[in-house]
Order: sequence, then structure tokens, then C-alpha cells
Amino acid sequence: MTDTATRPLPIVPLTVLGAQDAASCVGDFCEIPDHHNQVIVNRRLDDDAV
Amino acid sequence: MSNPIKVDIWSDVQCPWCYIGKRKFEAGAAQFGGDVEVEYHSYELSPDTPVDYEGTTADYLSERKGLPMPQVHEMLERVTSIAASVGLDYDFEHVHQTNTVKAHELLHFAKSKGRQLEMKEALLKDYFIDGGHVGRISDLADLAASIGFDRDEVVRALESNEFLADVKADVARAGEYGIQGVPFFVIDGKYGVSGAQEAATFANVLEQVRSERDAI
Repeated sequence: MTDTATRPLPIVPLTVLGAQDAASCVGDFCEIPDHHNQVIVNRRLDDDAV
Repeated sequence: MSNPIKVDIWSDVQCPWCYIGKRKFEAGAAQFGGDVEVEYHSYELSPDTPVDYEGTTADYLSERKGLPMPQVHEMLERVTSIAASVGLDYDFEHVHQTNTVKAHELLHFAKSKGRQLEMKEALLKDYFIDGGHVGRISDLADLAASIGFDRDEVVRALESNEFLADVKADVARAGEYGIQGVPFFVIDGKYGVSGAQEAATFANVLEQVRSERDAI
């Protein structure tokens, strides 16, 4: 993976790919999608926290 | 050498999902294995935040969103746990909530030197892990100097707003794309991937672009 210099990026309609519920920040609020709960549970199991 | 696949990423320094998404994208690019060129673009999630906001992230969220403090702490613990799953040790107790426009200007400065990726990583680490302040020019100049930039040159660039127009142009371009949240990845100028997706998702999109190119 390399750094790149700025090149003009033509604006074309994007084809959106990937999961629609992926975590992102909108405005000053960052949502936590439900599917991440399993990640947390798994980690706590790894840590013997539950 | 093959023509690398360009990936334009809109992101904010104080976006927890952007750092997590960065790690997942890097893992996806590694899985893909081909040549990838990355350019970060500015996105200000909260441009009205004062540089010298006094308080923690929890204070900020509680004030802004009116959320009870226990709920805010639970949210931050969850994000911290998810960050840990990709090897990032978030420390929200010591995060300095601030205005990130100068950090974005610094990223454009670094881009002009061909070292934007290094600066981006340093800023995110400083903000989420090391408890640094990414809003003040003096702190930003120290951080830039720590990775080899000329401190005086950085100060001059930030004090003169040399790269402010570039920041605003990035934000405007995000609007033209219809981007409403970050991180947001534009891959090969035609595919949009929103959020901190799984690494395999990024690898798959990059592979799709490669397949399309090979078919031409």
C-alpha cells in the first residue's frame, strides 16, 4: 500500500458495496451496530470476563 | 508495475470507527495483495467544537446528546472493546475532544510532502491511544516533528491556513458524493464502501476491481 499525490477525482455516481450496517460516525455521533455485540461477548469470553 | 487501484478515504481524526476501519482496510488490502494507492480526505464530524474544549469524550457526548453518563460510559467501553479486537488500545479517559480542522490541514501538508499515510497514523494514535491534543498548532507541530517534519515549516503552514482551502474542498467533495458518515471509501473512483467493514469486504471489492480491469 502506497501514499499518493492528489489527483483530480471525477465525481461519478458510486456503486455502493459492502454491509449496509457497518459502523460509522455521522455528525458528532458514532453508532454501534448490533452485530458488534458478538465481538464484545467473544472478547470477554477470551478474557474470561464472563 | 501494474496500475495501482486508487482508494480515496474520507475520515476524521476524532472518529473512532475511522481508526478501526483503517485497520480493517489495511488487513483487507493485505489479503488482496495487489498494488493499492491510498489518499485520505478531510471530513469534519463536529466543526463547531472549540479547540480548547474542557472535558472528556464522555462529557462531550453527554452534553451534546443529552445521554445519561452511565450510557455514555457503556458506549465507550463497547467501542474500546471493538478497537481492542483489531489491536488498538483506545484510552477515552485521556482523549482531548477538540476541533480537528488544523489536524486536517496538517494531513494536507503531509500529503504535499508525500507522507500523508504516516501522518494520518500518527494523528489517530496520538488522539485515541496516547492522549495527545490534535487541535492546537503547537501540539500538532510537535507531533509532526516527532516523525521527521520540519517543525517551523509546519507551524508556518498551519498559522497561515495554507491548506485550509484543501480541507474545505475535501468536505465539499464529500457532499457531492453524498457522503453522510465516515469512514467512507471510494475505490477506483466508482465503488463506495461505507463504514468500518470487515477486512474481507475490502479485499473482495479490490479483487472485483482487479477482475474488471483484467477483463478489459
